[in-house]
Amino acid sequence: MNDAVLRVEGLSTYYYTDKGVVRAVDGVDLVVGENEVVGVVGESGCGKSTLAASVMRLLQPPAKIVKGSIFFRNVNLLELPEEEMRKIRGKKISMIFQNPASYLNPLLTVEEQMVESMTLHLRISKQEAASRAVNILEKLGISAPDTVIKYYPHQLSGGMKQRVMIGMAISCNPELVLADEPTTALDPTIQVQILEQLLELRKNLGLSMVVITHDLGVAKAICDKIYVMYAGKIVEEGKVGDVFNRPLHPYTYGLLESALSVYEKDRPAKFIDGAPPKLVEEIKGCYFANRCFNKVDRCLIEYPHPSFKNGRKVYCWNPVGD
Amino acid sequence: MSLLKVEDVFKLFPVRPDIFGRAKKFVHAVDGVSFSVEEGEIFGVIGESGCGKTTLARLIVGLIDYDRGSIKIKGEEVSEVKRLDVERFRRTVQMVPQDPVMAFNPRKTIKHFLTRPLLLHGGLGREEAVSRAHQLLEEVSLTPADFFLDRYPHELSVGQRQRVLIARALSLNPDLLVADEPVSYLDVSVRGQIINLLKEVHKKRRITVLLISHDLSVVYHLCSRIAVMYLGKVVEILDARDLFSKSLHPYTQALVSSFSVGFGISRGERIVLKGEVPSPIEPPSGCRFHPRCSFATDVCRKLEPKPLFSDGRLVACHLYDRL
Repeated sequence: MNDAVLRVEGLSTYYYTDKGVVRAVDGVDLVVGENEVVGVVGESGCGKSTLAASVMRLLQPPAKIVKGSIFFRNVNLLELPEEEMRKIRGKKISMIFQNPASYLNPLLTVEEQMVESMTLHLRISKQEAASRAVNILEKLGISAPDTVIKYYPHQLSGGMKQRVMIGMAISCNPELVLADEPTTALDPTIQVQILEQLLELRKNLGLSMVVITHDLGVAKAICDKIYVMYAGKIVEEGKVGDVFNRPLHPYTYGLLESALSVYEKDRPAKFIDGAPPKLVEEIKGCYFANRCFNKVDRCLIEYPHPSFKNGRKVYCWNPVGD
Repeated sequence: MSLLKVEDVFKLFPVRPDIFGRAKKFVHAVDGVSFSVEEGEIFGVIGESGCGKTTLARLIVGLIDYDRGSIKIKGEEVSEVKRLDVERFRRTVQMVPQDPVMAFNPRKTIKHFLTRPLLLHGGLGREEAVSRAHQLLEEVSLTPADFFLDRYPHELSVGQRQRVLIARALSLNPDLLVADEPVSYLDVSVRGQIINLLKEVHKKRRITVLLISHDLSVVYHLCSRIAVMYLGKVVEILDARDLFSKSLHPYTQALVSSFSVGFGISRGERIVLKGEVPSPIEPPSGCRFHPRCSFATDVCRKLEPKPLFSDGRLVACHLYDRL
């Protein structure tokens, strides 16, 4: 597995709060191959954004990476001094954030924001960087990019802001882009445009991508492989088609049922009873057991070991359909 | 009989008015909207952000006043009833707000939250109000009700808070319930519970519901008919069963295609619209959808399409000359 762009091994990120230690990311393994789009799917509070922030090393106290390693092209990012990490962050690995409105600086023009990282990382002049920025925006489907670049963020629509965010993320030719809910703040007709754009970038620039989303439809539309996350842990991974057509973990199964049952008119909407566990408490056994329809005695005693099947991996003592 | 009748309603918000309240420009939030909702039906309104669906809800509930047109609930003009007898009006129509976090006063218990309307509008004494609140909590399956009555909002999950909001909206036995994005704050795995609760309440009480949502699957699932809004106008009204397969307006078709991205619910090629929703301050001439429509012709650019009606169905598009 040496050709992996990103290899996360046994990563644990905890938040040390007054109320106890929150195990937001708890022993996560994840591999992103060359030119691959990998989805991390889960619901609010499952740790997916903390996972992305860990890879970028953007965590602030009380969050702390306590275990594991993050290999980017076989270099462990967690062992790099901050100075080295700064050369990678924004250049080789970049990030698209969930809410472009709050990540763009309202006091700087689009140009000022886009140029900064290029002058730093590519060591080019401001003029060169500015013309590069115009080029990028044009490729991202912004008409009149030389006007737009002089705008302040409040003058842009939601879709345009997200395009500018994407533009900033790809401006230094990154090898890996982490996209945290890249289309959640957008309306459906704009969401489709942005998704198509991401797919095009992947094709044209040979990018690898990690797409973090709660939206199963988005994951299905653009990912090759997905990881399903629940309560800080990966519960299932596999090729998108496999996971969607034949989910193995009862959580994945329930999540898909919940989403798809609403598309049927004449039967009750499906849901998963109960709520995810509080991650400060000690949990014995499988974290999903209290909500699971398929549990067996062992689930309450021991956290499931992974089982492997046709390139798929599931953490469950009693997978669906076995 | 139609319980709610909206006829040619306009609401314009002034942009940067001068000190005399005069403005040169207006946001055309609701721009000549007409539809009617039959008694006992769940009627859906869909559209993207800024299309005017929440403004429409606020007009119907009487939180803001319309500039022109008429909104009638049970045959009575909303602006009139509101002026003459606001308490009676509040008992006629209630709203389930969008945000289950912002809607609560964090310092007050659920008991306070639920008994307020009963004390103010319901004419109940304190004890009666508490026992009524108890019943309401049971109706929305928050049991044991005594436990929940003494809780503060932060002690409840988002789903539980959403149930309390529904209970409160029902507390005065309104004829019309306006639900603005009632499930948009919920995770997919728990969303179904609230959807089923709304269905149950509707069936038991035979209450009329106006459901506003950007989530097409939710509207499809719950509603009998659906109005599609674009830039302050209703472009299509159709039977919910036709939403994914038999819509007529090119905007509805594009919306359906974009929404179900990945799940492949709609038939045919994915439709990717050009550009973005234009500004509602200076909406495009002719048909408002023409700059993004791949079927647009000269007539679309110049002339606003007249809505065509037939059997409760409506489409406003030059592509069709009859239904």
